Amino acid sequence: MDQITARVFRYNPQSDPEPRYDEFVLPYDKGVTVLGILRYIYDNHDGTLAFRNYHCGALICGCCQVSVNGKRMKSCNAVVGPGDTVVIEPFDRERVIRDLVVRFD
Amino acid sequence: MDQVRVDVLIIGGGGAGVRAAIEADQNGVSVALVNKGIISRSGLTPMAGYSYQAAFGHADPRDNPEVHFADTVREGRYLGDENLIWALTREAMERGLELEGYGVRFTREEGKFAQVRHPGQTYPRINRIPGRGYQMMLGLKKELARHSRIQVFEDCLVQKILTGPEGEPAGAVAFLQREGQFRLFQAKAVVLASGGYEELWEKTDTAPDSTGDGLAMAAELGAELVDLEMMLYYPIVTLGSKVFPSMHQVLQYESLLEPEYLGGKLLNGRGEEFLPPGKLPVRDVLSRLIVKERVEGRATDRGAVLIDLSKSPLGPAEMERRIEELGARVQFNRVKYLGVDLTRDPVEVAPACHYSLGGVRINERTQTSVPGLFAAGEVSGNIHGANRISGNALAETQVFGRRAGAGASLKARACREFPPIRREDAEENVRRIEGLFVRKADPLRPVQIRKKIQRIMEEEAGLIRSEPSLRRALDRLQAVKQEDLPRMQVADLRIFNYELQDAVEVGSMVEVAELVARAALLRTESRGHHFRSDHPREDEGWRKHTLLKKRGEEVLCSSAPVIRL
Repeated sequence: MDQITARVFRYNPQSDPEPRYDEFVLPYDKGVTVLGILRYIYDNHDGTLAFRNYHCGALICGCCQVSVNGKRMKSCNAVVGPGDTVVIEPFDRERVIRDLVVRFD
Repeated sequence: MDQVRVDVLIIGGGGAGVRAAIEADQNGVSVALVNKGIISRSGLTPMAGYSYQAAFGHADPRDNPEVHFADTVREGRYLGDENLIWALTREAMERGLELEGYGVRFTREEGKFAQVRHPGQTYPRINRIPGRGYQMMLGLKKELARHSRIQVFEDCLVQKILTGPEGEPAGAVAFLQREGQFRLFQAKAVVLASGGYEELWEKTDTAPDSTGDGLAMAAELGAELVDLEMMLYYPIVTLGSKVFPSMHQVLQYESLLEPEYLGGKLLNGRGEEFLPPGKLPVRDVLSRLIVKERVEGRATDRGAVLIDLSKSPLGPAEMERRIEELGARVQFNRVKYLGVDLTRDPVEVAPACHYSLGGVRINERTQTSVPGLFAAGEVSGNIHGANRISGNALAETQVFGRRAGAGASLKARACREFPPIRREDAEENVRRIEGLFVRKADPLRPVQIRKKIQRIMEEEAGLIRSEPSLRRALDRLQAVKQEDLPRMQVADLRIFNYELQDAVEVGSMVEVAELVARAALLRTESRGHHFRSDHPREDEGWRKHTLLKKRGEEVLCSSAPVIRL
């Protein structure tokens, strides 16, 4: 079965001296996006992951923006292929509230 | 616990809540606006399409608010309160012009609104916002920023409305996700603008934060709730992936299927057309036609039908031209990432929850049955009836948002003093939340319980229900309440703990789910989006509201006449 590897940025500015990366291996399915991956990780692996899940999922609101392999994108529009490794980070490290959640504006 | 004291507290920062805040500020009262996410990047309004319905009569001079009123009453299957529909249809134009004043761009041609006709409308009456609900929200947000006295709290989870000595709303207790702290709000009037409850089901095209929180809080205060069985299904929504099931995308069928627009076809699993000839059906009718194909074994393996634009008589160049002209590109982009070219590939679609028709009962001043509690937008329940025509939702946010802001200001001005809050209530709520962090012997994550509730609602209280299925729903929900909720445990984190939000939402969901099942049990007929397999016909005697009211743990069920003009 095809798999996806996700390396996810984790950081709590209040308690962690340094950010770290957690690695998750997930099943692949056609059309999966980075947002789908984050929801999958939260649902099945790790409830401590901070990300913005209240989203339109339809390329509009931009609330799900993250950095995918170094490029700022709407995660609902970042398609992942079979066998891919994706590095998921906050789009602005200076404004991290926790993990992938960033202060907007 | 830090405290915020304002005249008017508004819960929910979508179209209705922001409009209410602007109005209250203009009336000179102090306002706090709290929102579960980021304003314009959460909730329901930013996800809406381009449709703002208002009878300017620019496309056809015969159109006017009376015709808009008649269309809304008829297509709501005579279940909307006519005083509210009249307010909506009479004021939608003025509120639309105000939106333009806030900087929201509508499509105009030679100065006039370029209106189009959607199903259920006698004349073309849809005024288009090319940037859709999202741009409307950005305009409102910009206007909100001009009212600098309004205190805005984002990423703020309201858990409970607190009451004064007479049981009147006197504030709320909330958790600020960014700070990881509780906040006590004290207010003279409270406006609920917290949206609907689509998330109770597995298949929705809305954001995952539409969990009925405001409805659950209103129920707890003993407010009257009306027609909760009415969940509007949008007929044409993509299925999503089996591994990543949340990815449902709404496809606006009017532009895709109407012969005068893109001329696509809707086919069953055998590739046959099944829509009756003539005008494109409105949403409840189309949803039922699709379900009929499923029930009679003519759907695809996944219980869906196919939308197919390759069968359109239009050539590729004309197709492209019309997609641009209609502003329909976004729907093509929405499925592109799945590797689907909507102009060429047939796509599986089925009905999914789209808009909460039922909700808190209001009057034309947006007062609920609890004095001092106002409601506007999707959280309210008696405007549209058993079905809603396209474009009335965005108009509703503005018309009733403004009215709620005005009503709450008046109420606050009439109160000389802040009603005293029982601090124990706030503290009890803090203890309840703290209890979620406590380690349990056999813990359940909120997401597990959420999925269970959604499964129950999908199986027993979905598009087709019956007395036996609804009774099973109530039994299964009772088991969730008694056996699962006490085991719910969240990650021990204070700053932006998504699991904590999930847990608070699950608490709302199970309460509202039970009320929905009870309301659905009460309505022994089929009307609009409520389909009972054991009562498949519309019953003249049921041209009335179902009415629910909580008193402690007891739910009082009755009915109420629809208000006629």
